Amino acid sequence: MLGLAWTPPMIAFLVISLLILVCAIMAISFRKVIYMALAIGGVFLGCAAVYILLGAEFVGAAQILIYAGAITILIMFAIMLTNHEAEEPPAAWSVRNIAAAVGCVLLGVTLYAVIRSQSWPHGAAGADVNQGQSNPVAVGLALFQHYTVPFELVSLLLIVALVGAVILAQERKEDE
Amino acid sequence: MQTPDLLHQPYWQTMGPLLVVTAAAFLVMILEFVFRKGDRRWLSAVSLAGAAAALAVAIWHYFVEPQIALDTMVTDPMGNVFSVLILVTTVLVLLFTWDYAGQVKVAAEHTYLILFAVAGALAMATAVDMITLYVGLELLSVSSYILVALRRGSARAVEGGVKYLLMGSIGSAVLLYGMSFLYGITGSTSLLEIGMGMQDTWASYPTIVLLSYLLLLIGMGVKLSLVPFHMWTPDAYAGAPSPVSAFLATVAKAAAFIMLLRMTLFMFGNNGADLFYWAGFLAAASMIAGNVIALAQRNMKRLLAFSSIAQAGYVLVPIALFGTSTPSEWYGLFDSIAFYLFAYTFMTVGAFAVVHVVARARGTGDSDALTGLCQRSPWLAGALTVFLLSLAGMPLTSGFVGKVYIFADAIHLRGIWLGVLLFVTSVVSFFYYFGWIRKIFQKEPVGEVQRIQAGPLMHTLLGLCVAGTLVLGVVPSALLHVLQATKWF
Repeated sequence: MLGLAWTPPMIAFLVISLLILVCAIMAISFRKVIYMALAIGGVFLGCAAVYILLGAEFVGAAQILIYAGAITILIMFAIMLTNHEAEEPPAAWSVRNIAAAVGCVLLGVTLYAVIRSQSWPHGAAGADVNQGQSNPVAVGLALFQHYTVPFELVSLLLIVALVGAVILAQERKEDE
Repeated sequence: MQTPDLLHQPYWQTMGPLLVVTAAAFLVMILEFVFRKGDRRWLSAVSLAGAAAALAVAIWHYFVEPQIALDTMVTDPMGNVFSVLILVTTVLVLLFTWDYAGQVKVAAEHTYLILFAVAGALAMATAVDMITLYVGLELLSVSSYILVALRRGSARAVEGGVKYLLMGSIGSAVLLYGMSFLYGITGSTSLLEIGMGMQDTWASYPTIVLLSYLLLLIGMGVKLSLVPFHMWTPDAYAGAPSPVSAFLATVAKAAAFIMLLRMTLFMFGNNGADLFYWAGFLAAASMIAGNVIALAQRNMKRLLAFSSIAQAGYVLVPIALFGTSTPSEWYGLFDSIAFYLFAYTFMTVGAFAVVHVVARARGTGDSDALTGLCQRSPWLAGALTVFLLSLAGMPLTSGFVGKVYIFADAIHLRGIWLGVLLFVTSVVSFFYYFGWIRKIFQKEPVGEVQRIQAGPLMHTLLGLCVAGTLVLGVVPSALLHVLQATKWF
């Protein structure tokens, strides 16, 4: 059916993808901010499951710890400490929304058609992409050898993000 | 992947300017923490010195043998020319911020945020690895989002900042999606490796390569504010402090152009004929929509925003022409792109600077504030006239030379329709540029004329910009000889 191989990982992938999509749609269609944050947590968990399915257990675990754990909780705290009563106005049908929906469907159909139109490269069964290292070791070696420069640049990015958050949130006398 | 020797890599020869700019940014950051009291405008001078030092290193790199560190950072002529361009622009923008900080209270952190953004821009100019390019782009973008929203008290600044953040993030996501397809079919993030295997990849997966090319183009199109991905531009430019608008229009665009050039040529260069004409459509849309919408603008910074959209369309024309020309003709296209971006830098920063002085003195950003400028300040009026003539592409200015080269390339290299469109849309742009010039030389009808004063820093900046615009216009060979002697790849 659909030219797919109905192996257990494929079925698991479809179930997880469905979960991610449902959570993502809930995240944008809920009217209360706090529910949106919860739905995003669901998306993060689903992504972690996909990583584990792909054999990247370390990334999956990090995804759960950092995104599903820390970041979702942080978002919830930020919402609760500010205006947690905030509600989006209910969705309305307008020309712009309909055009956007049609555009999204077209984009989705195009992407699907392109992805399904070609047979993708298959790795040899049992191929070891980690050169015999365990998963976290391979990630660490890649980060600190081949990808040292982008790793260092990311530290600059974090500093900029921190400074930016402080500038934008701090109370200032010099504000007009 | 064999283990690289981390200690013995030519870091300094490949990342020199980047390291100097980063060091300067941290120095300014620490100084800003230590000295909390009093007038802190001298921090801008420290940033400026850092940028000038980096510029010197970048010029020295131009004479260094091409090298590569960790398969990631290169020093090649393409990267060197654009590093010099980015740093020249940075020096101008920092002069502008130095003057600006003297009149408007803004968070002192902006001085080093600009330097961090420039570090990102330099990474985009010198990296040959998709991950590094992406991180550099994000470093530039995140700093820019913050800089746009710097005047938190102003609703327009916050609106511009939020719009830029949302659209820019979507652009980054689209770009990353395109990169992920390439990684999926090649198993590599190195532009050089992907480029070497592209013949086979293209033979096996043509539609996926096309899809990833289009996603990369769209993602960079958002950053370059090409039509139809330009929606954030007028709001962000109008809401941002003027030096930041100038920064976005010049440094951010030059960096995005070199990143787009490097990605498309290194990875898709062999299949250009099948792919690059898509960039031509974006160039056409940007030239038409940018110039036509600009006609209706009354706010000065919004008009400059639409004008910058149109200018980006002009620079995209040679990028589209890479598909219809042979590699031996590519040198000429590089010369055109680099020359136009140098010309564009001087006239754009200058135009934003004069608009800032006038808008501040008259208390309005409406273009009617220009009325009678030649009586209020002949020097400002003259300088702005030079910039506008150059943006419009009048002879004896750098904009004219730049446009002639791009036009000649288009006619030469089988892109006649783009050349004709460039010519026609430039004629449309005369209406709004000359509308401003007419206002500048109108006499103020009633009341006594208040003169407009500008500080010494502003005079220095305008002097440099006018000199750059006129020198490149009258003796373009000064820069063209350097570009033509450059072995681009």
